Amino acid sequence: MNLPYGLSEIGERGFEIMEDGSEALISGFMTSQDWQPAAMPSALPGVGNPALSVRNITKRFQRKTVVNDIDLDLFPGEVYGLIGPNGAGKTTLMSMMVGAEMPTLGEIWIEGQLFRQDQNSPQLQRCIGFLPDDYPLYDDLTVWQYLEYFARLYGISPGLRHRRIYDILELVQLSSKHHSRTTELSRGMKQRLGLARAIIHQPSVLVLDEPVSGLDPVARMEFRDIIKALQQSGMTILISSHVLSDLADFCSTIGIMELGYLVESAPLNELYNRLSRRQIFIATLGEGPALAQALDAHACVVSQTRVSDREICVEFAGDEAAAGELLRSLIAAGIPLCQFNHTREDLETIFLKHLDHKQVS
Amino acid sequence: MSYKLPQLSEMAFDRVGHHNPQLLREWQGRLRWRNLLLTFSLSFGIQGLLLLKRLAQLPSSRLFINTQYCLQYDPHQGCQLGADQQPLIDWPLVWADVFRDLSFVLVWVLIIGGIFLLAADLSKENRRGTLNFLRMSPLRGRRILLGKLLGVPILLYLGIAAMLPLHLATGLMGSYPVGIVLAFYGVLGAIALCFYSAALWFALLAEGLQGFQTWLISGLSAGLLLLSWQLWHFNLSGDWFYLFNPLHILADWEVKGWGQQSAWPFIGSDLNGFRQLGWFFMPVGSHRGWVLAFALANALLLGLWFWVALERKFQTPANTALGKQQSYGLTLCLSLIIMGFETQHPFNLPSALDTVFSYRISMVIWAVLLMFLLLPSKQLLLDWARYRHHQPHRASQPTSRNPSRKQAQSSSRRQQSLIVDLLCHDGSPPAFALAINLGIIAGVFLLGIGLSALISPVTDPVDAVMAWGFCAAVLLICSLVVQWIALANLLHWRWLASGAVAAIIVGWPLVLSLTGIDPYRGAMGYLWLTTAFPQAVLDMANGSEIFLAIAAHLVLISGLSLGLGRRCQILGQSEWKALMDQGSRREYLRP
Repeated sequence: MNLPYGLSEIGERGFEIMEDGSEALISGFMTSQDWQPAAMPSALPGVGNPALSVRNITKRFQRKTVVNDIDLDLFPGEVYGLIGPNGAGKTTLMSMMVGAEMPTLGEIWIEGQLFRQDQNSPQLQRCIGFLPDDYPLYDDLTVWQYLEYFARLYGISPGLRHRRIYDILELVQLSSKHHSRTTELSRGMKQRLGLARAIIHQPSVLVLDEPVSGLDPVARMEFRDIIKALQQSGMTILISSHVLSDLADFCSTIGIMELGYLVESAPLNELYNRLSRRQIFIATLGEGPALAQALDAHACVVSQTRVSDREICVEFAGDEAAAGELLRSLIAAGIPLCQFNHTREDLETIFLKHLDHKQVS
Repeated sequence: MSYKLPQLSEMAFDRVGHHNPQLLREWQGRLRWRNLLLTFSLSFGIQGLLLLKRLAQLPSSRLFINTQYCLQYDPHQGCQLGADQQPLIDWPLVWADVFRDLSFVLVWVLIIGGIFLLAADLSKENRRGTLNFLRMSPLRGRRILLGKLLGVPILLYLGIAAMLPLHLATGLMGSYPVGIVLAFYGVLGAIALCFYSAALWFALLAEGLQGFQTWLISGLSAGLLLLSWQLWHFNLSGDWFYLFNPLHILADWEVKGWGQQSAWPFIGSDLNGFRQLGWFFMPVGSHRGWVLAFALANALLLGLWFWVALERKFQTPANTALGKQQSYGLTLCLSLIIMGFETQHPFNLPSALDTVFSYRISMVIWAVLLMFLLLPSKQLLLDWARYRHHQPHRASQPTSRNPSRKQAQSSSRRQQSLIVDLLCHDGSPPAFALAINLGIIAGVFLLGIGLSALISPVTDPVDAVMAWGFCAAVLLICSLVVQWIALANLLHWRWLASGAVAAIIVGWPLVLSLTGIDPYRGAMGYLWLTTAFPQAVLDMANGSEIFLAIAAHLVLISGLSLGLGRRCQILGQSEWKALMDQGSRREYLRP
């Protein structure tokens, strides 16, 4: 079993020895005396240290492995989208990352420091904001009291507290509701209030577990705008969602989970380039065969499908620049084009294809 | 509609919130004008009713009716009249009775009302999942729980605070010294804290009951309070319950009407017997200072244990209900307390075998509770088994150039770490820790007998020790059976385990009785040596029967322990293998 980088110089105590002689931390049974921290996950050139790192993380529950040996790095300012079918282990992985669950194996690093659920570490807890799916609010408090309560829990100084609450209410568009009881809010508003609660202490990493599930399109759009605003402010965000079009809109990296494994983790562009099929719909005012002949000459054209006498659908292997090149070459060849429509498969199709492929495996 | 509190109080609230945000949150949710109005109306209404009840019993011009408050009463002339031709009233007695009525209400409302509110609040938060967010915040569990303790029953506290002026005034007018009334408040507060900690702990433990635990703990506490209200002094461990009723603290004060049981609402305790209360031959009940110190120490000590267990369970819900190390301390405290009440007076111990019977019964109940409180969840046990399975790798770190020495060192280190785990680790099976607890109980038992022997001759001490030994062996077997059942893949294993324990401890002696096997005579009386109550047969059994019984117990305990050890080993092995297999499969799944 290959160990990820950063675990090459681990001390002998406090770690389990793997079958190949390498070591990994088994959580839950170490005392602070036993504990010798492993080496911190190293930085990637030009990106800096990861804001949150997960190493070899595994969760077994009732003799079933729910999360399987996952390595993951979230770099500052990154928006990481986690997708996968129900029961893939997304929620469990997120719960372990925020300290709500104890991993069976592996370790979590936040801002270069080891994070353990059983050790009280207020400064690391302040680095994390978490919004689970369907988070219950306190019915007996007003919006303002609710946020103030969490601001106090996170030790925000009195001088800063009111300003922060005002700003955040403004951001989540709940300023006009600050005297309303939480029971009077709509589901979308409640979810936005939950988000406000998660960011009240300005965490460096925000973990959102299916935040838009059950929201209507308008509420979803409002929520998406807030996340974009947070992204612009430089917050690192990990978000899981089944609305993949939303994720494609603002995520810089995508991870696909299945059966507890992180089967894919790559920047969105790379994922598109690698896994997304591109199609070009071309229509001509001239002769169809001439167009087909001109397309044959292009290296990136994988296959052609005649839609009608003067319309052809092309499966294209190149990127946007290559598509531009094809357009230029067709014009140069004197083909009278009336339509050149370049499309690619969206994230949902990639995900479904990926799922099929893995299930076949 | 929400009502804002005045500016000044908001500033005070802000200061409170600065020190304990949880406390402020609880106050903010509850302190609304409507709630306050309702609370104070109820409080003053109750006070008015209690006053009215006593004032209605004052003697009037009809001199032979309502004579209990006459200053002087003559059966022929009725109440003595004053210069204004009105009956002379014994006002201190009237006020003393109002004081007692109010004290009764205070105790019940504060303790049972507070328990209900706290348990309901915590179990609701636990059920809804909001408690996890408090755990994940940087605020320490202790401050959150303290905030809950002081904040959740705030309306109750305010209602009671509104009663205190009248309570104090009637107490003073009823000839109770101010120090005594204040001492009563102190003891009431300490007992309430003890009950509250227990209620919060229970609310976290019994989360599977889906809110029913609130009613259960309130009912149990009310039962305990009722029991403490109806005590008869028996010189036995049950006398301990005297200390759980704050009203008994007032028993020592020589106030008019104290000795009349009818003067106390619903109280049936032997109040004069209470003065005979002792602890390890110390005459606790005879001196007011002792009573006060004992009641306070008892409530605070138990409250502290509950609080430690509560904090631990709150911080890490996956933990067992009670830590193994905590259990040793708690068992020592409980057995000392109970043995102390068992040995109140020297004349109480003619035969060790008979006298310590109630101590043994109490400790059997405690040991059965411990079996379940120390029992790890299946996941915790699996994690521990996997960790144990992987220990040889750690133990085999190079320590010496000599391979045989290295092997011996590694084996001894493994043995040591296993013992430490069995003694202290939450995930390990609890039988070994239970054995230590039973040993502590036996130690205190010997101390009790030894102290008694110093004062007066004690008969059958060896039989008494042996009886406990047999009983402890049966309890250990129960613990091992419970662990076996917990490891099986059964849906309702808790019920099955409880049934198995009941069958071994109660069912088996019952079967022997019903089948006519008499411990005192009859051919098969020695079978009673295999029950948790072998004292009856110890006089009759001969050496070989006792030896056979000991051997049978040892074989059973060893067999169950070895089997359990092997099962844990297999589980650990398969868990580790599953973990490693899945780890290597990841490489295959990578695109």
